Amino acid sequence: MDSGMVWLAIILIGLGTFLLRYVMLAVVGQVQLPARLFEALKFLPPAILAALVLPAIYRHDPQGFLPEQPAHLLAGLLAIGIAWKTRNMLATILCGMLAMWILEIWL
Amino acid sequence: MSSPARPETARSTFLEGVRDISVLIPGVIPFGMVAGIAALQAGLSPLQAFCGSLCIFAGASQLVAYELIGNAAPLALVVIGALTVNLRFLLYSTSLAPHMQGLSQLRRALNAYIMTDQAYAFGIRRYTEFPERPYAESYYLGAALPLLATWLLSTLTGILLGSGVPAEWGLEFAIPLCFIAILVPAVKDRPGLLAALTGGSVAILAGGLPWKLSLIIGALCGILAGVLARGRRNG
Repeated sequence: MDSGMVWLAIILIGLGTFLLRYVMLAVVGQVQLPARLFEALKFLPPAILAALVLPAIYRHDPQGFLPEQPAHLLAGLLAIGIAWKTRNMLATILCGMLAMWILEIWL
Repeated sequence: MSSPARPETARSTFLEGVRDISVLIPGVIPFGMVAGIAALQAGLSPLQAFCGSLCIFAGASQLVAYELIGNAAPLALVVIGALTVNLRFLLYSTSLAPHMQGLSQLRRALNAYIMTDQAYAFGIRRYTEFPERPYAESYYLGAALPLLATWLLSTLTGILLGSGVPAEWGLEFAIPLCFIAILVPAVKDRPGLLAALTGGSVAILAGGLPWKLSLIIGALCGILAGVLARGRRNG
């Protein structure tokens, strides 16, 4: 993507995000969203975040299902455990990076 | 958020918001730095990386956009992918809307621009649990504005850091780690866990598709799984 397209992407996403934040404040009392959409949107954060995370820590080779980067997989699983226990972003990132570096040397 | 002894003013209420949100600031700093690093990794210029944080001001969607740009996805997909992540703002603004009905459209627009997961969570608590206390909008501003300042400064730090760190350090691994730290607390019950497991597995299986289409497909399948699981539980 060339530089002009990147600017266009930033502007369009910025504008769209602002509208998603603003539209319901602007039209309050006049429009209501269907309840079903509400229910479905509650599952958006876990679904899309997992769709980002799992392929990033587990990338298998085209033939089999062995992980291409076992250090990433193991460090990622450890980070999930730390996030579960501590709910702390800094601890999760630091421990995950540290584990990945150690495992890279080790494996 | 205890009941105050002195009469509340707009200023004291604003500062109360600042104080309440300050415990969350250390968690935002690494996220903002990762956003700066990820933008450079995807090939954005430092100025574009900074303007991304300023214009969009929504970390997860910025990281999605940078990931898609790095994978040479077409413009439409980059925009749709990033905005999908931000659909949750429709929920937040719908729930804040009745409380902001009396404000001018300009004030509502400002409150919309600074809306984040954290500012919403603190703001809505103030509106719903203490409806009798005045200056709730000042409280919301006090909670939201420090997050914006932190976001911009930490992005800037990430940009400066990201351009100086050698590639062998594998700093880009901080991106999925950052997502893990947001994902785990977002899984609140069994249907949520099912949504996450489905979304992640489908995204892995669809990994061969071009332009990271696996992301949107995984997310949609995950939402569907969550909705079906909830339906079964209730029915």
